[in-house]
Amino acid sequence: MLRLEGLSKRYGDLVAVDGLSLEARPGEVLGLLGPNGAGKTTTIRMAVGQIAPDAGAVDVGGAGSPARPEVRGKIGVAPQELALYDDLSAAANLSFFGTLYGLAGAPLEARVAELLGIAGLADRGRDAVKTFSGGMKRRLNLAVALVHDPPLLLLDEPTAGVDAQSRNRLFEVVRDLKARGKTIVYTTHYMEEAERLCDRVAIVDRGRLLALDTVAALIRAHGGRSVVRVERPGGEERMESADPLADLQRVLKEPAVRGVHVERPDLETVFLTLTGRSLRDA
Amino acid sequence: MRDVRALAAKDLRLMLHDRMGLFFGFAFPILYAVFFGIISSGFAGGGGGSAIPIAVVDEDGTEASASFVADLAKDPAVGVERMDRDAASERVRRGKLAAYVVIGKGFGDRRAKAMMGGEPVRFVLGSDPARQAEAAMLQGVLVRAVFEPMRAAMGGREPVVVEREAVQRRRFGPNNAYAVTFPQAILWGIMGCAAGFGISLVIERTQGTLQRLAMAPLGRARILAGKALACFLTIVAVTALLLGIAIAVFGVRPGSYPLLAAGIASNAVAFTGIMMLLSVVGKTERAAASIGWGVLVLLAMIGGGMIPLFVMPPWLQQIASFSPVKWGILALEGAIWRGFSLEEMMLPCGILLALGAVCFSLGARLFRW
Repeated sequence: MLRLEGLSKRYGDLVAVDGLSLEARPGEVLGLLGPNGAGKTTTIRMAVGQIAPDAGAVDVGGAGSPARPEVRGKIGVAPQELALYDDLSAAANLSFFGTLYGLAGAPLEARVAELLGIAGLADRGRDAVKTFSGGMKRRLNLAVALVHDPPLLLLDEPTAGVDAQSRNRLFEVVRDLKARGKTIVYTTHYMEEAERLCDRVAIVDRGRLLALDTVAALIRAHGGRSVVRVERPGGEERMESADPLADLQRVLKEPAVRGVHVERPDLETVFLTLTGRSLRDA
Repeated sequence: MRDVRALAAKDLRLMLHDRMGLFFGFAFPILYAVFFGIISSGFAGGGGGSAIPIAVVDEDGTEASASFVADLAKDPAVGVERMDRDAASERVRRGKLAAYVVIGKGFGDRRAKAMMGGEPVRFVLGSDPARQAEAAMLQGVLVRAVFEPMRAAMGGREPVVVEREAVQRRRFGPNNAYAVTFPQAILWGIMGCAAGFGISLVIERTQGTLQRLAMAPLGRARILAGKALACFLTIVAVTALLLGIAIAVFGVRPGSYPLLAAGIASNAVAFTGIMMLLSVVGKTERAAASIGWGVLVLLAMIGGGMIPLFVMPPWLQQIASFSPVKWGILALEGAIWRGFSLEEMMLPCGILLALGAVCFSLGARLFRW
């Protein structure tokens, strides 16, 4: 659905994206996981044709480059920076952007009402956006991306700066979109989101693609073994385990064990292995 | 075209939420036109100028001097108060009076002999240095009053007759001061629109909506066309509203409505182009507003937007030709009271249209997405 081939972008001496290639398959949620400054947003901007790559090519669903307006019509983008008209109402924002995508009349009104419901803003549709909380604005930002019901969605850090309630609502929306067959590229620097939502995850750092696979496969390939920590009266023992369940059963038979903790590898471990740095500290 | 209309409609709705923009687009021009219309009533004709307030100090105290003062008081050009010299000097010093005239001792004898070639009649004229034009006019009034007996002896016939002919006024002159001040005020409203829409483009860039528009399936030219259409329509609406007020409330009578429409459209095109250029002068909203308004005020200053061009020295009137404000005012005045023909309107309108095209092209080329 979206193919990026050898994309590169440089701003002066700074290499933002460095030969990045990947493909988002139809109907999947592909995560772009990396720290701030990894090149995720620049990649999204090139994918939607907002900026031209210095090298490489973008293809959207076999239709070609998003530099062409008709190709951009297949994409819905929720940018990281909230891009809404604060003085207009939520409904007016949706209606305006819907018009730009060719909607009009009753279908547009129906779509606006539907999206207000999806965003949990049905009772605030006529209120000016400037009166909304950060979470409400973030949900509306996503709803605008959906206004023309595009087959491909590019969601750039869609949960940045929102509360837990809005975050859960956004997760529900993403899962629902996936269930309806949408292809979603989801950038985040939260590994928990990537693990919960994404079918496959591309780990990027300093503009380069380091690994791309399912979460389980990435952990198997780069996460290393689980760690079992056993607390005894004399102190704590820490041991790597290829089969933590078997080790757990064995340890629990010992009479002096006070506690047992199992640390399974996760995407944080994968990122640490691949870059030598922690995802949170990068 | 529907997307361009939608973009324009969005901008018009946003403008209605912009209180500062509404003030500079609508309220400020009205205040400007009314304020300057009131204080300049009279110079444009129709309003009836007020008499020059003067004091007369009669130190002669004769029947002849009393007769002279009576003749002087009949002149509508002056308002005469009698008082002693110290009081008169003090009131002129305080700015209450424009000047005082001292009729010295022996005035009666000198006046009679002056008719026969004797010594000239002398007055002392004390005037406010800031009101020299009125003092000069007062000299003429004094001479006329001195020779009033001679005019009476000639059966009331004037010895010299000067026919005044106001060339522009004979057909289409301003019927009142507001016909002069409203075109100036309208240009301020138009500049407010251009500045407001130019700055709104910068705001759209900084708040990210411009990037979102660029991701939509419409070319960048159409996005700018939408902004231009909104600016054009707003300028036309502001101009029409202000002219409507000028006509309905202040009695302005345009000479030609078709030519006025041409003048309004030309102004709208020119300042829509200037709006596009203003949008590239600053990266932030504050920078764009500061630089944009700085440039516009300068253009208004030299272009007759603050004081009428005919008051300016000749060298400044030459420089004014580089300001679109001059041509904007001329295009409106030409249709309202200068009685321009279609051919005469071609110059200001042509310059405005060309300026708009050049500025828009340049601004669109330099615009940073």
